[in-house]
Amino acid sequence: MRKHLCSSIQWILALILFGFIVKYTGIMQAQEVGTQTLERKALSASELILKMNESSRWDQVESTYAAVEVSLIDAAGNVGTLRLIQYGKRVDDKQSDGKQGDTIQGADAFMSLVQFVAPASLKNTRFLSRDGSQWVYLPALKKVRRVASADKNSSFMGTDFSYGDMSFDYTPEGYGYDILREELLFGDDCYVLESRVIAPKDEQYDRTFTWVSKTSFLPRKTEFYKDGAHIKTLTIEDIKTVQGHLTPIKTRMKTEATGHQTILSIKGFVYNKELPAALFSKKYLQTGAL
Amino acid sequence: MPSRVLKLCILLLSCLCLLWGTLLWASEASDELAGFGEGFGDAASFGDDDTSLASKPRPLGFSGSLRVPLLLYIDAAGLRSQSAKDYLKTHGEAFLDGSLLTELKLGAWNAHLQMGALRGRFQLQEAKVQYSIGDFVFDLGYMKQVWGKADTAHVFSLINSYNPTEQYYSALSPRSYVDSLKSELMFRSSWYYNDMGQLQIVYAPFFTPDVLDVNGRWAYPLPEAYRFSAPFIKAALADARPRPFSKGQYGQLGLYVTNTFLDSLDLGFAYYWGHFPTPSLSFAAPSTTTSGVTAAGGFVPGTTASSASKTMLELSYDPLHVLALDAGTTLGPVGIRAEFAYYLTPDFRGNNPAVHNNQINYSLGLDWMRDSLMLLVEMQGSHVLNPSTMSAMEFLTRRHATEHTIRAKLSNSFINNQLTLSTQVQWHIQDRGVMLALELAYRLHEDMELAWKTVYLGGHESSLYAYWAQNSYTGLELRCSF
Repeated sequence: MRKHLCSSIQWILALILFGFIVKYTGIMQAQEVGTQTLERKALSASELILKMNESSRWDQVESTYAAVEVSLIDAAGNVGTLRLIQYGKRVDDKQSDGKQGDTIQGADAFMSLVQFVAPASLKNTRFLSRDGSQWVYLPALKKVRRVASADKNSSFMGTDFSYGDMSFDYTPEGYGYDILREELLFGDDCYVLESRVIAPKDEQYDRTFTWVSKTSFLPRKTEFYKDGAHIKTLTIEDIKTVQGHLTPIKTRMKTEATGHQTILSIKGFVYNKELPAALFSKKYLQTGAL
Repeated sequence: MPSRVLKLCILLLSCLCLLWGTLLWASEASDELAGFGEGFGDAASFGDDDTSLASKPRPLGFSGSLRVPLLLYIDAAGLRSQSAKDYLKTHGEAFLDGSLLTELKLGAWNAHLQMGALRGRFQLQEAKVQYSIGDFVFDLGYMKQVWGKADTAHVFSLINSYNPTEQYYSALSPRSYVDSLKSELMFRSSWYYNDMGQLQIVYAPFFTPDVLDVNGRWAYPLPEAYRFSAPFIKAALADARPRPFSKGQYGQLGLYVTNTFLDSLDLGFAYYWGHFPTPSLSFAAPSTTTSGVTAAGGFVPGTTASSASKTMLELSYDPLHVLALDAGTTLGPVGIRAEFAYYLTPDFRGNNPAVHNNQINYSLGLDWMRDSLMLLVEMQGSHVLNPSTMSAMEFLTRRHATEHTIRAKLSNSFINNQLTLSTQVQWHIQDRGVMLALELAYRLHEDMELAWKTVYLGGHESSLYAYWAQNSYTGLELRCSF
């Protein structure tokens, strides 16, 4: 495993982390939750989807700073652990080369730098993602290396996330939606939302069931299906309010066929901290100095 | 001599730093998770008012690795002629490899010390002081400078002495190339002129040639033309190899500038002014000190090579200018890298037998990965210009005017990443030599693994790899990092 780590594979967990934070964090002002709670009755599927989209106020975030532990657990209970620090900063529109009128959405709107803390063989390995490109600095090789992104079905080595999982949209076009029922999950009243593909292409999954919190409109659990087979299950087991933002603290992705699981545990998180732009440069990537 | 004194001073300083580092590390061991934010509910654990998160790492870093290989060299002839016990005694080898890195950060200053052992021999891997200010970083000390975007070997990273045979021990290790370099005293100035652009200028006052073994396990076979003068050549090379040259004319200067274009292409340009890493051999005119050695280095039949001939042999390192380009990009899930270098020696026409001809060196590689499967293929090529006028000395370290080597690595992990299977094939096209490496590594603990590795060298009977066939080995290796 260590060889793989050093040979530049598991730094891709950087993408897991950042994509995950962007995708699943409910950027919701705490005071709004109460209001929305009053509206929870008689929601249609389309209204629920609208609420979910509204709750993801990622545009209010200028930067993130997170400390994360990634646990890889096999069916026999063997655990491997990675620890890393992640910095994210919104791309300055003036710096981006997007044409006037273009808006950069989701993870693409951010630069991200991930620095591994553990295991020892990965320490000081840094991963930079900006402008649609990725570079990794491997201390063992003493150089910065541009790296390719894998296809959406490819999983990160040893983890249960795929690239497609990171860009998975709960409410994409070309899907049909239904609210099936209401259930209690992790002490949270939830709608169970079914989404199914209408015009199949090369989707990673053709049907999902998502448990959406009635109060925060955050997804708490999602089951992913393909051709009738239950492929994976994602659960957000713990959510906390950080600086007024609801943030997933513990997330588990399980591959049903193997029983293998990946747990992302956020050990610390700060929003909108002043992060120097120099953090997202080759200088920091290579030297660790600002 | 000044180099040795300097190295001694750095070593003494290193020992003091290590001692100090160890004491500090021990005192901080309980603070292992400092800065990692144990409690989450308390956002202050990250400090909302902290505006310099990235610039406040622990002042002292302490890390390292340890490897214990137990190797058994495979020599069919030896196995037949010896008992198993004697065979193990003569063909078995065990040593301790490792490194210890201490980093001390004080504001803009950063001291970096890495010492260890390779093949059981102590070595100073790096010892440098770094000062960072604005867009500039300055380094001074013993360092390993790696330039180029290729993965397995570089064609214009020439400042450090390179040991080409080390790769057979470190095959499959990502550190293979770096471990094959010997640190050199140098001053390095880096200017990060934009977010992804960098200009580096390196000056090294000394020059250490590449390792060229002419005796021992990894000895190169001398060209036929040198057959009769081999003892003198071996003596000269053995004497010259380990000593950095302290004369002023043996300094080295390098420049490397790189940037990203169109958000998808990394391009670099390099210039190196130094010396050809392998020696030139020239012989005095036979009329002055005739002793039976021809100008081309051959032995004149019927004459005797006397001790006087030792003085006839001149070993030198040609002045060298290198102009180089490199590029790296991605095409979908595939990474693509290339390096190109032109070696300009004083023998531009290629008609001076005492000076290396000009050369073109290049490499082209790609990598691809899916899940935990990783594939890397790289071809390295070298072409000596004016091959018809090549002198015998060109063949000290090469066997053909044009040479190509293809390296392919494939690795995958299983059982929750506990088991890793890696393989490497290295094929020298013109020489028809092949190296095969296979490794199975099992993770015993988070930072410890046990590996079984086998390396086979062989191919066409006239190939260099076949010449080294008795260095094929199998063995166990225990590795840990901390």
